Amino acid sequence: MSNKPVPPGSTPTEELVEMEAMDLDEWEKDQHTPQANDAKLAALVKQSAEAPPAPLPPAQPRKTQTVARVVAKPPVTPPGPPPPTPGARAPGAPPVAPPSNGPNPFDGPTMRNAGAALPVKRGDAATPVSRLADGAATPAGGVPARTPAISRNTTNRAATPVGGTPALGPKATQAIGAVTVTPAAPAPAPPVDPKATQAIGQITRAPAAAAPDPKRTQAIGAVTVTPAMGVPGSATRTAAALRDLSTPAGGSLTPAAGTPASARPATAPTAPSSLSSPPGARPASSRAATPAAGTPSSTRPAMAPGRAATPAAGTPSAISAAKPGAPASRTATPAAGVAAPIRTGTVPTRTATPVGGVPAATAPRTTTSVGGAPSTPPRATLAAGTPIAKAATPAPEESEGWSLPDDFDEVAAQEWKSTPAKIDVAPPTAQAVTPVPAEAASSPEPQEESFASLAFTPEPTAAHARAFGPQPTPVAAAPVVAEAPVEAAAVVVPEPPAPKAPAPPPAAPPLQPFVTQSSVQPHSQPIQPIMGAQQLPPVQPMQPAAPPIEPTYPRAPVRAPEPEPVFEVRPQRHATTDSHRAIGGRSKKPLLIIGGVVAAIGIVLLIALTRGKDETKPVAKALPTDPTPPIKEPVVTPPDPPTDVAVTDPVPTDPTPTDPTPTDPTPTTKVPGRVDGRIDGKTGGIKRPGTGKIRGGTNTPVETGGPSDPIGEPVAADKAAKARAAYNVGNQKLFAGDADGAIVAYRQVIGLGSSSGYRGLGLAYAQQGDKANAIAAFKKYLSSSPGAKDVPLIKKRIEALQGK
Amino acid sequence: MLHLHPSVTFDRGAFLSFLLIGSMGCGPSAPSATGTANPVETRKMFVVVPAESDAFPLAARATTERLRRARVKGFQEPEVSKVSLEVVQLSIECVEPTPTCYEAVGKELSASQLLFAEIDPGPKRDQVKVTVTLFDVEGRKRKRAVAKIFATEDDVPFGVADVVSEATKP
Repeated sequence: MSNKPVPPGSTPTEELVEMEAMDLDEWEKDQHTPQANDAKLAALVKQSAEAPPAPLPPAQPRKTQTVARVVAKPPVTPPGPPPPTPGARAPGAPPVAPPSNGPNPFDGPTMRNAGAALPVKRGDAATPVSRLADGAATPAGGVPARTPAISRNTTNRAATPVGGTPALGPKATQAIGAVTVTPAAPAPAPPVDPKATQAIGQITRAPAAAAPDPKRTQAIGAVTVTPAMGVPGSATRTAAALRDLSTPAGGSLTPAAGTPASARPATAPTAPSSLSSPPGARPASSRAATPAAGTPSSTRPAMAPGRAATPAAGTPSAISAAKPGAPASRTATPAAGVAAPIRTGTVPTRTATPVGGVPAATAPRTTTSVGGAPSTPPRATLAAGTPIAKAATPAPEESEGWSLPDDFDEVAAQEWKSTPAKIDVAPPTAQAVTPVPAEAASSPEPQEESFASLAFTPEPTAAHARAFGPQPTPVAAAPVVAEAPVEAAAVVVPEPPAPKAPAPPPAAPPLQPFVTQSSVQPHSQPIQPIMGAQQLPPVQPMQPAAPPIEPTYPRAPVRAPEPEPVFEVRPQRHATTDSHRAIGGRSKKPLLIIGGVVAAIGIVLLIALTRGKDETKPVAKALPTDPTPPIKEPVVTPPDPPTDVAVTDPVPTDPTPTDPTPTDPTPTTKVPGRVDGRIDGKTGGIKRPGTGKIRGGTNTPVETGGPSDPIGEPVAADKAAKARAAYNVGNQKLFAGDADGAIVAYRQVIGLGSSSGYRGLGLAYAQQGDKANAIAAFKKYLSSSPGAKDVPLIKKRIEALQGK
Repeated sequence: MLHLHPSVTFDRGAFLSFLLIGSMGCGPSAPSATGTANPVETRKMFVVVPAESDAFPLAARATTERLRRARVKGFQEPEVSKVSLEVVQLSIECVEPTPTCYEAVGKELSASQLLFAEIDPGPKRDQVKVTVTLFDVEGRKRKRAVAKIFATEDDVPFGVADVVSEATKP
């Protein structure tokens, strides 16, 4: 009853899942489960309890008829005096069913009835099955007059035609929700006027057994119209709304034992609950509705929703309705041995639920109109004088504005004829409403692959190697660059001597050879010694290796033997011409000038050389340029490359203590120059003059302070810097995945007295998977620097390594 | 004055020129000498740092796997670091979760964009909080950070992809 409607098919677990996607309240929000106010219920009960003829407050029945379409039947006067139908309406109420032969009630104006919230009202119509079974009990037998309650308001009205009340039969019951009209068919009479029950939701047709015309129940939601077969006017009309449930004659209906089909009240198949009237009970309605067995004029009990329409004798349905206190008894057994519940597994079942206090919730949508189902029973029951079960069924909600076409009945009839036994269950709404489990909606995206396949295999990153790779060494290259200027200077300086050659003023003719020589000599070189011999002795030391040239010019013949042909003397081309033109033997001025210039240059060179001894930088800069053959060859003949000597000289004498490495004779490793440069860069540009100064060749690796390079001892600052450099190297290697190299570097750091090496060592060991060493290293780090800010992380790592 | 034969003058001039040019060419190039021209550093790199969690190893693996598949507009496939964020931070002695430290990490890894994840316990029992961050090293700021709390660690593999894609979407 008070249970909240649960989405069909949902399980508690699903509900839980739904919570994420849609709250249950949200879900229910749209369900509109018909519920009746207590006040309404009370009113209905009162109404039903009233004496049959007592005029009911007009409003009350109307209220329930909101949605359902009700065919206003022209009041038909039954052939006989209509028995006081308990469910009969207020005096002015239209529901009086015309005799079976009467005009089609559906032709009349229609109204909307409240949405049939009632589930299939099996037991609703107070089907006097029991009566039927009993035979005698069935009052209707001969009371064809009219099927009493064609429930307009399915529930409220005493829809249940009293058994034997013919009026009932013919009339159509339109109920929204679960309305079951079970007209008892007078045995012989074929249903001329079908009772039509239009209900929203489910339609159950329960043709009376043996009745040629099946009862048809059109239910929106769960409405079962069971046209009594034999009821003259009870041609069942079924409005095929959403579902048709046709109860084949023998099928769903509860055949009373020995009761002609017609006599058997058509039991709305769906709602077993509604049928829950105890057999013993004899609702007035049952009397009326229950066609007596063999009673031709069997009354068709209109199974008003919620009312036990068709309980055969012993059929609980109707009876239950009659039973005041047992309205809710769904379990009510169908008529004894009667198969009333046959239809029960079908959809209507749900709709039927609300009846007899059955919570309309079960079939939220379908039951809409009849929601008042509980109230329904009253009528039928009332007939018997028994207060209808006080079903706690909620008041039916008003229908949602259903409208059925005018030709609805005809169509339904057609359908019915064509498919008498068809049972369609499951009102569309109920199905449509099926909630999607929230999980489905919110379920995470499907995974293309199972997680198991997700293997963590870090790709080797060349980028790291590249990124962290050693940098090009500037040191090695630096000296080379600087050398060029020196060489160039050396070359340029001697050049002027060429013109000087003619210098010897004394004799013009003897100049000839000299001039010749100058011209012959490749620009600068040989001249200088000559000049030096005469005027600039200091220049001499510049080229100690050069064999002195004998100053032969004074007496030298034109072709004076060249002193020591350091260079191959070229064929004397232009010798004469040059000499003549250049000197011409005019004056000594040019020679003096030239000589002065040369002297000046020589002085400059001397100064430069002497300074170079003190300063390493200029020397280093001078070094870079390799002795390019064009420079050295012409200038200096000595076999040894003088530049090397010049460069290396300052190193040993270099007083600066900053660079011990160059003098270190035992470099353990040789690393390409670029690595060295990188380290230097890392260490803040520490100059290592000695490192790159050995210039044996261009490809000669330069000794560097590699990992195994014993880094200096002298200054603490330098030590720290080197430790830092080594640490950086270790980091780079660690990040590049080279744990071994990192360990080596970190060990150097430790050797330099930095405790950070332990940390790095621990990380490297951890990366290698060597937990023991990693833990040991970390612990050493903690002990050496307990106040470091990364101590918590280190401790955490230790714990992780220890497996805590 | 000094009158040299044209050919001699030419020879000397040519020689000097050659010498000069040769001397210039023989010297090491400036960039290499300075060591500043590191093509790797100048290149824009998108580096993914694997997630690490001792408490939630499954979540860490799943997250790392998803991180590896991440792509950032304007960058090529990511380079996956060999070590975790924490290791890098410990190594560089910058362990705070601040932009400064992340920047340092990014520079240490030569990254211009850094994508990493942090896995922490959620507010409730068994819950796991996964935070994926895309850090702009050059801009020294978080470009995007997305966090999601999973009911259990087992749920992470099935939902972390969304987190990563959200963090890396342009």
